Amino acid sequence: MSYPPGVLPFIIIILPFLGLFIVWFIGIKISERLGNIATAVITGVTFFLVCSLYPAIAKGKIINWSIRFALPITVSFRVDALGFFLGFISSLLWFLASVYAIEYMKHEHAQTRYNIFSLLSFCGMMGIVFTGNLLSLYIFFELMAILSYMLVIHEETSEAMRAGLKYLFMGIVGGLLLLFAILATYVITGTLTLKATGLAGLKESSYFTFIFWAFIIGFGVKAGIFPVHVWLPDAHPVAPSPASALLSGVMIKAGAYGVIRTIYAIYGASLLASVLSSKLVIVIAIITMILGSGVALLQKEIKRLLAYSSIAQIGYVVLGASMLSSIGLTGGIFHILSHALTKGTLFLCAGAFIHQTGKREIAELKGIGHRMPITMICFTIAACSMVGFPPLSGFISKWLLAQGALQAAENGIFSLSWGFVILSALLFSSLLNAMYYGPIVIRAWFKEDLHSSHSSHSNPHHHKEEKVEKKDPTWEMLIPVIILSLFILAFGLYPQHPLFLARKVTQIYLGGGS
Amino acid sequence: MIGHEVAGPITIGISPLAVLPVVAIIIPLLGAFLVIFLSKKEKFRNAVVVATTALTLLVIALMYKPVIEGFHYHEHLYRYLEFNLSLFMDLGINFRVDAIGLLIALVTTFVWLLSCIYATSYMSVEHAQNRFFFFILLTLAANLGILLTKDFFSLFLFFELMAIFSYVLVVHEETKEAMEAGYLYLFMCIIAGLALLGGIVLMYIFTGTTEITPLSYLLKEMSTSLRYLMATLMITGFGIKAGVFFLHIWLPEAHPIAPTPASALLSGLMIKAGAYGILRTVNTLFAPIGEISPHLSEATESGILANLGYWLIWLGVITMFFGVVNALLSANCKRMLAYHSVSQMGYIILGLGCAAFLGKEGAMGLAGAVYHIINHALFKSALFLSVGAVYFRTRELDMYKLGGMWRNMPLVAVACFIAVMGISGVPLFNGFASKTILHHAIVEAYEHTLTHHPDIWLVAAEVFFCLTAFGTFCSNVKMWLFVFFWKQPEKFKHTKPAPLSMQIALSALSAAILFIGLKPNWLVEKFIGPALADFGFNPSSHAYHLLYSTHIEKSIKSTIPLLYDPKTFSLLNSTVIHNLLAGGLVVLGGGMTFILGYRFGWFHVKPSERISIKYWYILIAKGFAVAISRPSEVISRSVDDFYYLVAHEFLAIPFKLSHLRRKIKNNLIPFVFGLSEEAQISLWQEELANFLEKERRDTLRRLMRHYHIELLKQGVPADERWKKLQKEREEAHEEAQKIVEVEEKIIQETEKAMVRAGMARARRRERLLDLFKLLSEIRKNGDARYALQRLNIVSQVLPEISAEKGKLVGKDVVIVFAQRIKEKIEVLTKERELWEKLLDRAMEEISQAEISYRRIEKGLLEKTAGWLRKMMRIAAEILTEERVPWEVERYVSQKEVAEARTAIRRYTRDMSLNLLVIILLIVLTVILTLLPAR
Repeated sequence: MSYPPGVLPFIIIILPFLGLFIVWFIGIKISERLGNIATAVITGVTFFLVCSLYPAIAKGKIINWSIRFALPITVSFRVDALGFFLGFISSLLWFLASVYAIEYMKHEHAQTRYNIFSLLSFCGMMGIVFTGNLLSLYIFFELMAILSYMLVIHEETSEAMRAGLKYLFMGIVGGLLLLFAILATYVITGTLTLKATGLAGLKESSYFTFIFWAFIIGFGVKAGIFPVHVWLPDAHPVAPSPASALLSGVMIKAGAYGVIRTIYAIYGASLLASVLSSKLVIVIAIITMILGSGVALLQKEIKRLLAYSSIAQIGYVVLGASMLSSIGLTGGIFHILSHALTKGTLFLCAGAFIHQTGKREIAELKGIGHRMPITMICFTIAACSMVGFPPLSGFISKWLLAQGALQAAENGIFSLSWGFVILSALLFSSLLNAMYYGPIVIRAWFKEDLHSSHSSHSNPHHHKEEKVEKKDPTWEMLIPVIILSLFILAFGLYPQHPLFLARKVTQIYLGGGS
Repeated sequence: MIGHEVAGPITIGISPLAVLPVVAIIIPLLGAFLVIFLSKKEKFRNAVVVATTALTLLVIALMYKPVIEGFHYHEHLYRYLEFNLSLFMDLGINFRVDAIGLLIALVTTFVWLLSCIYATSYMSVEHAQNRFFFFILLTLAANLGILLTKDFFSLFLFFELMAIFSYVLVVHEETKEAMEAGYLYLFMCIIAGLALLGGIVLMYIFTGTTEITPLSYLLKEMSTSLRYLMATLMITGFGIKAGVFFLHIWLPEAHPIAPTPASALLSGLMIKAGAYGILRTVNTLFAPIGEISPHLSEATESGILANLGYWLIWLGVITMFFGVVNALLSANCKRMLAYHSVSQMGYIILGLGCAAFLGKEGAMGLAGAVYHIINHALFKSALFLSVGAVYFRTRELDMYKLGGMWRNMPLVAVACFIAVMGISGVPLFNGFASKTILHHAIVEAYEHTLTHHPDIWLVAAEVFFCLTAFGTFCSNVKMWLFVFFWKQPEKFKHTKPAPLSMQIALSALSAAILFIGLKPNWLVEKFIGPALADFGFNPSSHAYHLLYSTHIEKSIKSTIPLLYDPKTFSLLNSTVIHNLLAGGLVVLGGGMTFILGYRFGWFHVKPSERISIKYWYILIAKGFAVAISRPSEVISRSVDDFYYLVAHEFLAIPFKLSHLRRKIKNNLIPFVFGLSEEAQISLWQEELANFLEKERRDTLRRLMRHYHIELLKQGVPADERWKKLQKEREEAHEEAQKIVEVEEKIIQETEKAMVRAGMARARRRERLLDLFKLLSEIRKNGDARYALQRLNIVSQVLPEISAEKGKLVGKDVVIVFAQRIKEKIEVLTKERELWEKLLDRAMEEISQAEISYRRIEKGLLEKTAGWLRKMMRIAAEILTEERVPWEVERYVSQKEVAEARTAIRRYTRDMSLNLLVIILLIVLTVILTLLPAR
């Protein structure tokens, strides 16, 4: 039998689940630090297993495997290009965040609990991206939403509990909407399997729009699009930094993944092209982009700012998905990768700042570039990627999305003036990104009023470089950050492989055209 | 090498020289990282910097032959170098070097080298030198990248990189002004990048390529308005970088605040990248290359190009004029030079505009523009470097405060003089040639309009051109005079001359300026002429022919008479004399402007800040930021609050249901089933309430009387007495309230005890009435202030009585109760210490009881009743309030008040009942009417 065996997706999902018992045992009986290391090892092994799927996926193979209980309850696993894409990003980020957590969580309470629920959420996330039918997608979706609650409330302060409660309730409401939509789909179409060209039978149904919006809002709660984004700015800052990186970098992508599947696999592009609802989704995406960045301008605490920034960036992904153009979809999928890497870096760097200096407010992070240079360099690279400076990965996604808007206008999805509106919204939100990331980076590296205009030049050798104590974090926290920023640079300069995969997905769903 | 049978660019397959563009960019990158490693050894690091730039210059110089003269390979002529790194970044990073790109790159690297030599001594006293040299080399790489690329996509990459890297140079000083200027610079560059990106995306989608090559045949796929939009976006993007008027606001802030070597580079070279971009957009993309597509509609194509050119001409004119006016008004030398950069960029844009406007006849304009790019790079950097040398020694930038520097720094003075002559366009210096060609171009342009369609506006353009020339001369000579020539202030008498490296750099630049000035046709021959072939100019047009004739002995020669007739080297050519006269006119006009301005003090006019564009830009930018962020936050928060509201309503539903149930039970059932137990209880409660109210009133009265008497004893006058009584009344109210509450508690406890003992209701009522009297007595007998404490003792005694409940029966309970209480009080009065302790404990327990009593969640009805009670009390007080100060004794009988309160309660109860009945009737009616008739 050729490698990989069809059961591999199942193994990938089960492995963290089995691993959590090991971590539990080690964490309680032996030492918590070893428990952290064990978590990192397990996630690392899972990551390598996911990577091993790549050659088969690149050839275009789709891996299927299913367990039949009783019809229609079939738990089936299916890995196609999009699923692999997200699986790769999730496992990469989970692995790096777990390595980071070895050091970051060293002095925290309840480390074993954190590790266990991290692994469980990992399980849920892998389940979401590797499922073949809607029911198992729903099961894993709900599992992940509920299990990640424990990551959110880890600190157990009153603020954390409130944020966690909001997160949980909105997640549950979203899940219920999703359940409704899935049941309705099953009743109308008689099948739950995700297909490439949309499920037949939906078009004629009179509940078409209703179910569509139930899907979008249901997944949208997880993704964090306007108007169901309100849990995000509370939940992401209160979680510990590695969990924030995972929440922001990976788990909201599950929602975006769901939106993509809805639009293309359940409904189908040709069906939605002439429907008002898909245009409304575009409008919502644009509002999300601008609103997220707009509120981020006013934030004073760094993690909250990053959370609002995530809202804006997920708007990009949803925009790419909903424009129904091939380049746009490629851009949206690429942005999943780009944002995961970028936001992961940013949150891990923010966590490094908090860990080393205890400072969360942006005003207090002045001049931190001299004390923690390596961390700040990675932060700068990630911030530049957010703004969209070439040759970083953020630029590639913006480049593709901009093209997608005009291509969709050319194809007649919407008029050319709408295409220009979307284009200007994209450019404008780049500018907004620069407006709030710029000051952070600049104030970190350049200290104002270090020298007044003419005074200190009269003594030429009076001032040397001040000896600033360098307080970069240890290698466990530094290496993941460096790896992520290197990936940002690498995928910006050489985006061939992710683009190849994304184009594969686009070919399946939109048929042709890059 | 003459003629047009060029087979294509020199790629890597043809010659290894094709890698040179990449090499030229990688060398500064490597040099930059080497600087980081050598950060400790200053001298070595400086040497590395200079060597790196020199090496880059060598590499660029090596590219001359393949690009300008071409390569023979397999009997075909190949020109231009091309190298594609197509694996990178989706579309690949592609390089192509053609004549214009090479020319500008050559000048760039040359000036960069001299700047770095200069910087080794200038920066030796600054902070963060490593950072400076690191970024200056990176900026060189990015700048070269812009000039050597094949398509707009790669150009964009280097454009953005240059913005980031040069930002670090601008904010080098890290003062407040530097950071502000830096923000302005960075954000204008980011906006430029975004506009450029918009244009590039448009281009890519609608034509399928971003290559910098004449694309008329593809462009006509786009509608006219789209083409204009694309061109406008790209011109805006490049124009921000170039510093055209209206988008130039960052320039006069950023260039002065950067350290001088960086200023020289920013002003001399980096804004040329913007001009280069405009050149590529307008003149290359839209180039009127007719032979590529015979189906090309000539009219439309050249129409668009001509329109673009026309607007560029005007843009150039406005830029140059306003630049020079602002320069005349500046006192800071570097700021003046920055404004001059804006003004000279106007010349370049003007040239480009003329070239586009005249289409196939526009060779003169293009040649002038490119020539001026070269010249400006040379003389502007010379000016900046000399001003910087003066600043280095004197730390003074205001030209009115300097003077007589020629004594201390003779070489700098001479170099500056040469540069001043250059920028003014005086014959024998390099500016003369380019300004002459540009003047020819604008004259051609307006002659063209006069013959083809009457349009006098371009004549006005030419007038502004001349005025600007006067202003330029005036302003620069003014600076030179003020800084180097006139009276020297005392404190600068002993300034040392400039360091050696600065002198070297300045001499090299002056030599270049003089060389070009004395041999103006050399540049046209060697570089500009060969470049003209790419732009679609008609080879037989007068201008082209004039500039670059290929008929003379199979070699490229420039025949345009600038300083002298190149064929005969004589000055007696009519054109030459015309040019020289024009140069003389400039000197004259400039001199007159200077004299007039000096006389009338025009140079010290300070226009208000509000008419500056920068003020409005920053205002609009801040307004934008607020307009986006505040409403977004409000919207986000309202959505959040809405969800909270919904959630709370949702979660409160069960509670509301139980309240509703109880309300129905209490109101409906007594009505339906007659006065039941509850009704009787409520009647009883009325009596209780009456009693308590009576007690309260009485207490209040007694306390107030007590205070009143005290005050009378103290002999306080009447109105003061009243004020003090007001104050005491608050406390008296509280005291009365507490007493009432204790009494209520005692009564309730007793009732519970009696219920437990199994007494019948009627009996209980009697006993409790007795208890009322007892409590009243206890309260009244004795000092009014200690009523509360007495009652507390009673409440303490209660548990003991309850314990004996089994033994006492009937009437005896209360009597025994009373007896016990009286005994206790007597006992306690005898023992004073116990009394005090009991007092304290009683107070504690009372307060505890109060707190825990308040915490109990009261049902809705009790809450309403309590509220009603409070309201009644307040109403009663208000009714009786007036009388307190002068008639303490007389109170309204409280019985009416209590009765009124209970009447209201009964009334509300009945009303709700009535309402319920009415609703039921309506529902019934509706159901009955809607029932289908059988």
